[in-house]
Amino acid sequence: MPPKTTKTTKATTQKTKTTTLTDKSPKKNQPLPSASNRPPMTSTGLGGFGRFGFDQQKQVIKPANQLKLSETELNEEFQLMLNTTDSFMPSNIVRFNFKDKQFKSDTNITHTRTHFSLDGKAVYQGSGSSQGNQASGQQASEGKAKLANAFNISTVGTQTQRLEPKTMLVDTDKIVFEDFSYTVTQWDIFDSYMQDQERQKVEKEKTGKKPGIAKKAANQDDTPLIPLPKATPMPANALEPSGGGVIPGEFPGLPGMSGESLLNQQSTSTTSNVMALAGAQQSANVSFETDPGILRALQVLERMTLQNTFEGISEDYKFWEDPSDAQKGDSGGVLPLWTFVPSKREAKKKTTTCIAWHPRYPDFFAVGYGTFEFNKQSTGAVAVYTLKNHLNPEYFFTFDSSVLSIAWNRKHPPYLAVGLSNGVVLSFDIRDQTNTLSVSKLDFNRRKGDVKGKHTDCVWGVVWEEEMLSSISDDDDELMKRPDRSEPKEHDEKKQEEKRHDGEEREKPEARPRTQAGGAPEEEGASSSIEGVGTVLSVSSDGRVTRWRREKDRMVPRDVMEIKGDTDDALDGGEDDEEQGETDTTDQTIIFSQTVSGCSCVSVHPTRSHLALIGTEEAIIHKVTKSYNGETLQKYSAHKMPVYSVAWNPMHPRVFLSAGADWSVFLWDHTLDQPQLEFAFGSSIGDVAWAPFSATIFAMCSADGKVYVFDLNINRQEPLCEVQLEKNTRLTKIAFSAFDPVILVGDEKGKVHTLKLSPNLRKSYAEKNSVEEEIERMEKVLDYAIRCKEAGM
Amino acid sequence: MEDDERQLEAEGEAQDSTEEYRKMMNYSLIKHCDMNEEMRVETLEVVVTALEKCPNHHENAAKLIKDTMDKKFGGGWDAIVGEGYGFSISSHAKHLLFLYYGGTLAVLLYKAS
Repeated sequence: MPPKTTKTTKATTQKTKTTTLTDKSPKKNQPLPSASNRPPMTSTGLGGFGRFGFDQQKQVIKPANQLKLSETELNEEFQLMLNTTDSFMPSNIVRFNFKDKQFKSDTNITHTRTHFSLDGKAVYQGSGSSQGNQASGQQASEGKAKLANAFNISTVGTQTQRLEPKTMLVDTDKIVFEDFSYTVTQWDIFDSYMQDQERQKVEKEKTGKKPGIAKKAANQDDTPLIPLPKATPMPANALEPSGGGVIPGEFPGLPGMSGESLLNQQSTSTTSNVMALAGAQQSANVSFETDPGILRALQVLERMTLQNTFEGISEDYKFWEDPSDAQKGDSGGVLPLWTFVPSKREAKKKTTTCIAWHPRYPDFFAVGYGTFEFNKQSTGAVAVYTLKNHLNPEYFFTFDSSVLSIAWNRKHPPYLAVGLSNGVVLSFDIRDQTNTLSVSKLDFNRRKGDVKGKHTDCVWGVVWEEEMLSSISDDDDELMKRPDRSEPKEHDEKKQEEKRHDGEEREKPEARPRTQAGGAPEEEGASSSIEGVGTVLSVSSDGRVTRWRREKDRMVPRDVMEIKGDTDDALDGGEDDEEQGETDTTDQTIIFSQTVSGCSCVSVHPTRSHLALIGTEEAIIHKVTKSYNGETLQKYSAHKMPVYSVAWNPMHPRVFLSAGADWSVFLWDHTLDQPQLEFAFGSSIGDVAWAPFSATIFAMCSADGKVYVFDLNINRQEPLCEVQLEKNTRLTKIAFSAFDPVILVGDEKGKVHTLKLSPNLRKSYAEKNSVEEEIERMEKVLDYAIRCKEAGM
Repeated sequence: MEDDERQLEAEGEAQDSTEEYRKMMNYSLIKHCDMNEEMRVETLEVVVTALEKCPNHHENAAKLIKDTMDKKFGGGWDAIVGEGYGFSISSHAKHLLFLYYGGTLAVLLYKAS
């Protein structure tokens, strides 16, 4: 018998049962199934399964690599021993024991693998938990629930509904309480009734109707027994333009309030002594919007809020001095301040056609809106703004046709003259709270067929005729005279004023304004027409210079002269034939083959108001005098395209500027017929204006959106400042303020920009040179110009 | 005697005149009211009805007025009917009516806090 081989593990402390299983089954005695002894494999490969009973001898397949054993080897018995030791478990586990700090062999090696475990519910009676159960008095089931029974704990959970908290906010009206106290006495009752009776009698007499119940009558007088606070209307201020009158309905931001607001109380009373109060308070029951006291208060409020909101701009206007000017050398800049954009519908999308500062009030100016495009004639408007309120104009007037020129009356601040594109000139008091005056004039004119003698074309310039003169010094005269052309001063004799009667017609309008009492002979004071306000001179594209005077509700024109343009530049000859008193509007061309020149701009000499420059569309500038029959004294031609703007120098009596569509600006000495200096730019110049505080500073605005400021005292060729104000917008007008170093620039989108000149640009303003010094400077400039010419530049 | 007669006559006349006066004054005269139109009209009706229902019973009249007003316009009304009194009250704004009636009575009606 072959020796039994038993496998045993190494020494273990555990009881390891080693069972040996000797297999002595008869089966094993049989030789190991070899290929030959195996039940024959069937072709289906189900060897050994005799189900199908394939027992017939089949072909036996031997794999090629089958171990070949001898007979004896085949009969060898092998014993298989099954142990409980887990053969996969390592027999020697050594672990590092941190306590002893050395490696120790872990002898506790279990060979038991648990495949399945199930905890039973049976409790061993001797154990502690069962003792506890008995101790509680056979409350085994309950005891289980109380104690933390390791074997049987059941937690029951429930999900309750979660109530969502809701936040509710309620705003109740505040309950207002009013106190009321009185004493009831019989005599008071009696008295009240007596008074009521009397009142009823009075009413009965008035109306002849049966007096109703007292309460009905009481409803008419909304007067309280106990006087409730009533707004006493503030005394209506003298509505000066600086204070700013108010126009109902023009008022911005007024909530629509009905008459029953603060002033109207619904209490009733019928006593007649309160009737007197009622009478007084009736006036207080005016509509909220027209109460001048309320309006004034609102206006102040509006100004305050604007000032607070735009505080920066106001501060800049007053105090900002550009500090970088010190580094810039000579050049300066302009600081944009407010921008006035018309909010009214009538002025939107219109071009700013004219700007005029008020001669007396530093913050007031008027802007005319219209269009320069003559294909699309539309309505025009005039807005009068104050710098204190750049969001809404103080006054606003609309007209049937575009406004092209405006002028303030110096002597009478609220009067404004407006020239329209349909040839009509209007003048009115802006305080007239409706613009019916102007409208009525237009209506009247229209009704009458046509205003006889009105312009047939656009009115480009209006000028009040009562320009105040400063005293003219001898030097000034000398200056005027020096280049050998004397001014016609002989006409300044006192002449009688033409009496203004409607029926009377003069062939030669020699309307000489009556000189003021005590004025210098040259001084031409305010003409005292019927209205006492003044007359307006207008120039227009139809070539006529017309004088308009106010008559009651309309303006009546009378031609002064015509501007003729002819090919011969005769200076003395070619005197204009004086037109008849009232011209026929159809008769434009004159008999002699002279055509009229449409005038596009006018400028009256600051000191000699009879002298004026008129620029024409034929690029010629006429120096005219209003005296006698009006004549052209001299013509200046250097431009090649229509002249858009002429301006006398405010201090130097001989110098003037002209700007035209031919992209150039010329400086002239009126005694010489060639320009002294020429400045060329990149686009047509809309307007040029002198600074009122200096003889050498002027500014212009061009069609490419630029503003240029020159100071000829410093730089005679280049502008000190060239600023791109707007892109793609033509700048149309520019105007200097007479009081502050601020200019207004209007553009063709209807905006008016306020710009403050930086210190470099207004040195004369800061230095406060006298007029003589300024003139001196200008003389130097002229000399320089002459020298340049001689040098052939 | 004559004096007495004269006195009696005078008194009689006085009485007649007061009767006359009372007849003439038989309407309500609103002294002060800051209610809105609608409310005022209704209230007036209520007051006059109540006063006519209970002549010379000021308390009943007042009670009637108060109850009706509470029903109509919500609670909190106070009504005072009398011939001679002084008062000083705080009422809800726009809920106050003070009128004279019949030449002798004064009715104060207001909504209290």
